Amino acid sequence: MVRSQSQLKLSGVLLLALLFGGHAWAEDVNVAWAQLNAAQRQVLKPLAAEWDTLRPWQRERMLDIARDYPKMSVSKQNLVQQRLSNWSRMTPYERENARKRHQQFQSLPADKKSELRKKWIEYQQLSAAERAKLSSESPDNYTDADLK
Amino acid sequence: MTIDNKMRSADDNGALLVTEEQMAVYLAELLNENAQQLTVQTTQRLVMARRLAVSQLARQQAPALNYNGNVLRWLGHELGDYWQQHRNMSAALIFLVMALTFFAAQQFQVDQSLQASDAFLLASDLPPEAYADKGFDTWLEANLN
Amino acid sequence: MATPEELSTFLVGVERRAFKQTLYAVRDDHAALDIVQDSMMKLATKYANNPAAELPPLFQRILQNTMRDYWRRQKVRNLWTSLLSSFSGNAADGDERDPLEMIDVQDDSKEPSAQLQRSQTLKLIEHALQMLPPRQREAFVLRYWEEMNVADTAISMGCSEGSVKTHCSRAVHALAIALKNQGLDKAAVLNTPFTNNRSSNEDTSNDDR
Repeated sequence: MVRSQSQLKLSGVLLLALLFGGHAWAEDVNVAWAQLNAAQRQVLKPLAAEWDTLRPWQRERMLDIARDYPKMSVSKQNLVQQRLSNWSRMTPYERENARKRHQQFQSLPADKKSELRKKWIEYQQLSAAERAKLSSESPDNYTDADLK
Repeated sequence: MTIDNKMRSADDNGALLVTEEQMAVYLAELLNENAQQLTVQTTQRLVMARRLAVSQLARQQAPALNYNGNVLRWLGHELGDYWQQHRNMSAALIFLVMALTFFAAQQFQVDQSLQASDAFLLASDLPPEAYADKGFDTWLEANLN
Repeated sequence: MATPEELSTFLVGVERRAFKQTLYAVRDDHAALDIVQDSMMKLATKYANNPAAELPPLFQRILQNTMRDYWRRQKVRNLWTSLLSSFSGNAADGDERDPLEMIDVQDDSKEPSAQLQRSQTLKLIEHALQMLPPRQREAFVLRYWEEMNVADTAISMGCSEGSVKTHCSRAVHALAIALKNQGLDKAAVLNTPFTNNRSSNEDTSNDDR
């Protein structure tokens, strides 16, 4: 018993070290649109109307985008602006899925990436009905029923 | 906890309902405080369950463990028996190992999260709908060699 | 993506009241512990990739669903037990209860001290909570105790936001009446003291709601 107690104490100390070491908690993400600075508002302009209705965790993600935006090239910045509205309207599940897929995509060699680009264009030629059918066939759909 | 007008219900008993609301808020506070008083045994079991869940998460997120096949198998076996209470000591040991590995891997993880900001996703070769579209996913599997 | 330390922090804050909330619903210490353990593990394995801020509503939903599974199994088990005992000619075992039925509250008639009065009051409150129909109790716990918003509560309970409000107002009203019948009017409830100085809610994960 004494041995296990000291082991538990050790892990307790380590847990404390983990909690206080290195992980900077996110700044307060309950900022209203009016409280964002000019640079942030410029980046997140497409979300101006809905910003105050977004939940804190959604705002946190968007603020991260605003943080990285200045480091990007102009063409990339334009893409972010174009796609931001659609992105914010996706469900958390869809966005998490998208992040996983994007991570996989990034790890592909250049020729595979361009092949996928072509496939995406090809896929969009399919009729809406066909695409809906494919989507429902996917085993990977997150629904509430799965949350057990 | 504050009363934040969770429910607006205007009727003849308006005043009465506000007081019931206040009572409900207070009840919740009393219950919450009372919930802290658990038996030692219960508390220990909860702590153990929590540690196992956390180490499970750490295991899923730290692929570095995979390289040490023996350790993983041993840990896998231990985690599989998590219903058995007498594994107190071994579970503490597992947690220690997990915590150490996680701590070591944390630096790497922080950098990863900075890199993986959604801005790069949005500015990438494909639009976000492409990554999220399940139909595209299914279709790719059927059509790629 | 929630980190292990974020999960740990969240669970530290929620585990005790999750146990109590489950206990009120299933009225069995071992079952409540199993359900909470099970739910923690499900949270860690299935939702490893969700942001930390989503952990509270997700955990509540898992908890509710796991409780429902338990009830379903219990109902089947109780049905078999009562069938078997009626076949064998024994009286139905008094300890096998439909968890949705009422149970007797223990009666501590001792000399009242302030501490005892407080603990008696809490027993009455716990009893009243256990008496509520399950949906009303869920709504009360999620809205007032967990302080979840209506939308998340509706998702947790698997019903509409309107239903949430209905269940909530009925729950609050039923609690008030039940306590009044036990001699505790609203004023008396609000006069029940806390054991120590009213400590602020130590659950830091609340910030992410």
